[in-house]
Amino acid sequence: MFIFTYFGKLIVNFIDQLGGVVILATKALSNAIRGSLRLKQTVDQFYTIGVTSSFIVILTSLFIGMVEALQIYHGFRKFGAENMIGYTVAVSLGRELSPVFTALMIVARNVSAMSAEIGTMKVTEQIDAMEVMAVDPINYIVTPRIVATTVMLPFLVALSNVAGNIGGYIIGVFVLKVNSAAYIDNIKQYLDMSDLTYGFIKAAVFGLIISSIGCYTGLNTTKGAKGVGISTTKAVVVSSVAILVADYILSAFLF
Amino acid sequence: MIEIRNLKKAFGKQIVLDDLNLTIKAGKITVILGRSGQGKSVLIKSIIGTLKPDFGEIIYNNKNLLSMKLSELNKVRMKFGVLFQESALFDSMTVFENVAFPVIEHRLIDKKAIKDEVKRVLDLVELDNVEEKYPSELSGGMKKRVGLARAIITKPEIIFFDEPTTGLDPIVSYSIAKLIKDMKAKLNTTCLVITHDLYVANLIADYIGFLDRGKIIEFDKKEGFFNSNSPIVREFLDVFKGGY
Repeated sequence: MFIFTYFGKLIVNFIDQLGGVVILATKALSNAIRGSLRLKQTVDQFYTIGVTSSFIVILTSLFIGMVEALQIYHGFRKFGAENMIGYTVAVSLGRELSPVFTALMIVARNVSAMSAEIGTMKVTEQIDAMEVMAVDPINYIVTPRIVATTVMLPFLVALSNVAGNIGGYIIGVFVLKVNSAAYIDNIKQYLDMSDLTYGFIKAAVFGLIISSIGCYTGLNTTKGAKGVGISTTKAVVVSSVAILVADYILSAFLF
Repeated sequence: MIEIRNLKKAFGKQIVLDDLNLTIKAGKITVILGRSGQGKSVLIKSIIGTLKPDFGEIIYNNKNLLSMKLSELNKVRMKFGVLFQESALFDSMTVFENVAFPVIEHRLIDKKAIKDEVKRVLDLVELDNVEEKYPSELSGGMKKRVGLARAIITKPEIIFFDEPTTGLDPIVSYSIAKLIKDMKAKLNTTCLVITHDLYVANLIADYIGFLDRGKIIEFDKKEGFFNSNSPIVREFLDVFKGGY
């Protein structure tokens, strides 16, 4: 009986929180669609999420591309298909690795900060103060963050693709001595535009999901400084899991 | 001005407000006293709409705040000013941006006049040359003053003070209490002050109510309140007489 109660509570809690995230995202997006998007706050978030995250995304993607080239080479060498490294790196980056790793980077760097910042505002009554001054906190705080993350993530994925492919090229051509022309020709010949657009669509969906989770956990923070810590951890863990689950669903059913 | 009828609020099994009735009179300072954990902050949050009571009515200008749509409630909120317990200043904004926030958001005054208006309200709360400072650079008393400046810049009809002197030393507490009284005299607003500080209540109150276990068990003019026969109130007053 105890087990049923325990799992029952877990399921109810999960559905409750999922519903909360969906409602928050819907409100934020409807604000944006209705044209009540706050320009200054949104541009600030574009800068924070897009510009200031570029370096870390480029750096991690460069190494992902390098590692991938190395690993693929060891497998493909057995079949004499070393020239296919370029295409394989490009397609796996475009479809999977860039969207997933970039989103995970944004979770670590921005979603955690979103949750902590909003959570601190919540426990210090700054959100209440905003409400009392007849300013909608969702419109002021949440919508700019969700819009900026959803819009900027595909751009960061594009950067990640470029950096990852450069990393793969450096290792493939200069270290593993694959023919440079063959490396690039295979990418040109086999890589389809849809391989990249799927990745961009995934990135936008991930952006919507992780920013909504970050803002939701922040807005539901209680119990002071400890609560802010709990919310931040929760935002990172739930967002990371959500990226992987959404990645599977999008890959399996949509693409 | 504000009439609270049969207000009830519970968190799970814990009843915080229990059929509470209260009238806040226009143009007066009403102080609600009570020990910690008796529902004082829940009462103020219920009135300003950041917490939804389970039952009851809060009548303001013949309209029930609890049955209003958010858009209607926001119009009423424009007539409210609130000084929060911890001031609730936006920590990523300067003092100027904090104080100007409501008038900028609602375009209440011309852009060119905002600077002068911020200076005017900062003068009213006796602050000078703090516009460019951040809340983290201010003392507790200064934060309260900035919070009060932000609350009065919209020229509210009623100002709510949630524990305005908590965490302040007696001298700063006195200056804040004096400020509340001066503010009421200068702006002719209605004030509701929630506190457990009898010293402050004695300094500023026109009316005093005593909140105990979610009910107002005593409500009277200040002089009448201090002669209350209620044993619970007497116990509270005797501690005060004993010099804390």
